[in-house]
Amino acid sequence: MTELHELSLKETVDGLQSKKFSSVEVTDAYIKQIENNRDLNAYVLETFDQARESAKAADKNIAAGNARPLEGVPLGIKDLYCTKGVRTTACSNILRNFVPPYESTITQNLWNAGALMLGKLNMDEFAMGGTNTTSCFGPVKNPWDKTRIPGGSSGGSAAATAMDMACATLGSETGDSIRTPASMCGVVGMKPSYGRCSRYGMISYSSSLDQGGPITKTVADAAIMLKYMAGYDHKDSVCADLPVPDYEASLKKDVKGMRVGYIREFNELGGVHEDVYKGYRDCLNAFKAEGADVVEVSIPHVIFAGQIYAVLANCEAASNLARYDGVRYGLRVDGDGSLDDMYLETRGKGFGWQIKRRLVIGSYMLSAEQYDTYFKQAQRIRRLLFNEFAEAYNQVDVIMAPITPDAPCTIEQVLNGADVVSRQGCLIDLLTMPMAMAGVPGIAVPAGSVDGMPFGIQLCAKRFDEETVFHAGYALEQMLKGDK
Amino acid sequence: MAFTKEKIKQLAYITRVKVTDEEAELIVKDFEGTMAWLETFISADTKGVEPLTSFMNVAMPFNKDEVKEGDQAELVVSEAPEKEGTFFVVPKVVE
Repeated sequence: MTELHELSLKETVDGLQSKKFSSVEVTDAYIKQIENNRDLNAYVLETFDQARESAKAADKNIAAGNARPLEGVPLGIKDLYCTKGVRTTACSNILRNFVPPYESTITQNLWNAGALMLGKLNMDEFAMGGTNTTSCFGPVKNPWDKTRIPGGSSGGSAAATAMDMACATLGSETGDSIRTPASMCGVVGMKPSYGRCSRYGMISYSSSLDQGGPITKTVADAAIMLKYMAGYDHKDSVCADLPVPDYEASLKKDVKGMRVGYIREFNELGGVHEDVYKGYRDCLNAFKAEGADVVEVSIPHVIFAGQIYAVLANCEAASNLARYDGVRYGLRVDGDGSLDDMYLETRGKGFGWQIKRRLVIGSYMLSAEQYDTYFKQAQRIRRLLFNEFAEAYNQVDVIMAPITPDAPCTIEQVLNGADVVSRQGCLIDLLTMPMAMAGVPGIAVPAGSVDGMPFGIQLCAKRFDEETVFHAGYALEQMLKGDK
Repeated sequence: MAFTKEKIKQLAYITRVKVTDEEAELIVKDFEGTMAWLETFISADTKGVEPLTSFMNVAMPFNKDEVKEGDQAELVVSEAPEKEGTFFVVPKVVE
C-alpha cells in the first residue's frame, strides 16, 4: 500500500479534497518521515507544531466546504524565503538568529492557496555554491548515497523531495541551483522565467538572475506549484505583469510537430559520462519517435556562460550583501569601538570563506579601473548569448540538454578540494548557466542513472513560455515511464 | 597585475570584511586562477554590443507616493542587534 508521504502533490490534493484522508494524517506522515531521516541534514528548522495547527485548520476548511486549491498540503521551504516570525538564515552565521517581520510573496501566495509549512530547508550559504557544503548548518547528504553531495544550492529542497520529507519544496536558482540538485537527487526541478515569480522576501544574491521555483516529485506537481507561486507583485519592480496560465492544462503527452532543439556546441563535450550522454540521446530519439522534429541549433556564446556568471554574480553579490552591516538586523560583533571595525568584525565573523572570496572578487571587478573589463564585458557577452537564444527559439520550441555530466562527487572530495570537483563544476556550469543568463524557463526531469546515482535532462523554452516547458517535460516523463 | 596578500586585504577592507592571513592566501590563489580563466572572456569581441542590464523591456514602474503600511517603527527595529526605543544604535562616529 502506498503510504501518505509517498503520494505526489496532485494525489495528495485529490485525496484531501475528496476527504479520503485528512491534512493532519498527511502532515503527521511527513513529520515522521522527517524525523526518520534527520541524518540527511535536509531541514535546518522544523516547524512541526505550527504545521499541525495549520493542518487542523485546513481540515476544518475542507469539512466546511471552504477548501482552497492547496488546502492542507505540507511543503518544505528553502531557508532563503523570509517567513514571518519563523527564523530565516540563508544558512549563514550572519543571519543565524534572524526572524523576519515579513513574509515573502511566493510563500504568502502558497499559504493563501491553503498550503502549510513543515520547516526550513538547508542550502549553500546565501545560495552561493553547487554542493550544499557551505551551509553554516553543515552539508546535506544525498539520499541515494549518503557519502555524496545532493547538489546545490537548493540541496536541502532536492534531498527532502527525493526522500518524501515534504509533499513538494521551494528552491531558488541564480545559475543552476534548482536544476542541478534536482538532477543529482532524481526529482523534478522547475526554474521559471526570470520575472515570472516575485523575488520580494527572497534573500538576494544576484538580482539580475535570482528566481524562485518548485522542486517536486512529478512534472504535474511542478505545474500545480508554479500556478500558485507566480503572479504580478508591485513589491518587485521586475516581476512581470502577465497573466498566469493554468499550467496543468499544458500537461500533454502528444509531441507531434514539436520542434525539439539540441545545442551543437554541447555535442562533443569531453567529461560527460557515456551513460549520461546515451540517456540524453535516447531522450532526443524518444521525442523523434513520437513525431517531434529534432533540430540542431547553434548558440556559440554558451562557452562563456560560466564566466559571465562568475563576473555578474560576484559583482551583484558584492553590492547586495553590503546590507549586512550589524546595525539593522543579523549578527553584530563589536571591534575596537569604531563603526569601521564593527563592520569588519561583523562581516568577517558572519560570512563563510566562500562568501568572503566572492565579495573580494566582486569588489575588485566593480572598481573604477576594472569595471569595463569585467562587469560591462559580462553584460555585453550576455547580450550576445541572449540574442542567440532568441534566434534559436525561432527555429525550435524547446531545447534539450544534459544537466549533471556524471554521478555527484562525494562530500569528502568537495571538502578536500579534489580536482574532480572543479572539473565537474565547470561542466555543470557550461550545461546549465547559458539558460540562466538568457532568463529562460527550464525543467529538470529524472532521466536515468549513472554509477547508481540519478541524473536528469533539462528542457528549456523561450521566455515566459512555461507552458511548453511543462508540455515537453510531462511528455518526457511519460515516455520514460513507458520504458520501465 | 600581481595579486599579493596585501592587495587582497586592501580589497577586503574596501568591502568591509575582515580576512585572516590564511584566508587572504587562499583568495590570492583563487584570484590567480580566476583571472587566468577569464582571459578568453576579456578578449571576446563585443565591439558595439549594448550591455544587457535587464530582461524587462518595460519602463520601471512607479508606486504611488502613499503610505500603505505605516507606523511600524517598532517592527522595523525589532531585529536590530542594538536599539534604543525605535532607534538603531551604532558605535559613536563623531567626537
